[in-house]
Amino acid sequence: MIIAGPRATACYDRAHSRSLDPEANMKNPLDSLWGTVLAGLVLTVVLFYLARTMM
Amino acid sequence: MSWDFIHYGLGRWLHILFGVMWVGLLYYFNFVQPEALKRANAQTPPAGATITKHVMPVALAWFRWAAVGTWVMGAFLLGDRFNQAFLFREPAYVPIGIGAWLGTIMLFNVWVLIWPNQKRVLGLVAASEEERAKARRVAFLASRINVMLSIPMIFFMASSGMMHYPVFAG
Repeated sequence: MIIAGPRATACYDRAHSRSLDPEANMKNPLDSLWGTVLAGLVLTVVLFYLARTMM
Repeated sequence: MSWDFIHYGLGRWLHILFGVMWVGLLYYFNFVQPEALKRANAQTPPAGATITKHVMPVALAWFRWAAVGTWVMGAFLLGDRFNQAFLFREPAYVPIGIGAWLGTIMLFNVWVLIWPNQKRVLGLVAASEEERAKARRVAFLASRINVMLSIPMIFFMASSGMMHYPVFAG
């Protein structure tokens, strides 16, 4: 199936310009509330194993 | 009334009371208020300024002083084991030590990053529009970092009792 039209072109342009700008690809997980919660859960697991090795 | 009751009974109770207020308000700022502001600003006339003007300063005052109360009562609870916890000198104090460090970083964020920048955002301190935008971003990220840190912090605080020792010790 060929996807064409103005929407497809706009989508391609956006993706292409992102790939050219490395900073545009970087997203801060803390900008998203659920990204923040996920980061907190991951940190909990990491610190749990760190605590175990320290004990 | 014995000293042990004051230390471990009342001390723990106050530590938890202050902690609930601190983290509760932190979660209000991150989980509740942004959506409430969005809805309030979407109505005609926009009503978001009411929240910013009347709710934020009061909530921030309780928030930052509850943070102090939590930390002080935590230090009081640790008592002469303060160094053992913070310096990880004793294996049994490693979980509470990690929780205490996370809480300390969070307290630092509240008083050094969130509050001074929120004062600029709320207009309590004079700032240009550019400075205000920068302050908003710093306060936002510091607040989000605190939400992230609060998750392991609560885990380590809740699991610092000896009944969870086997979980850590394996």
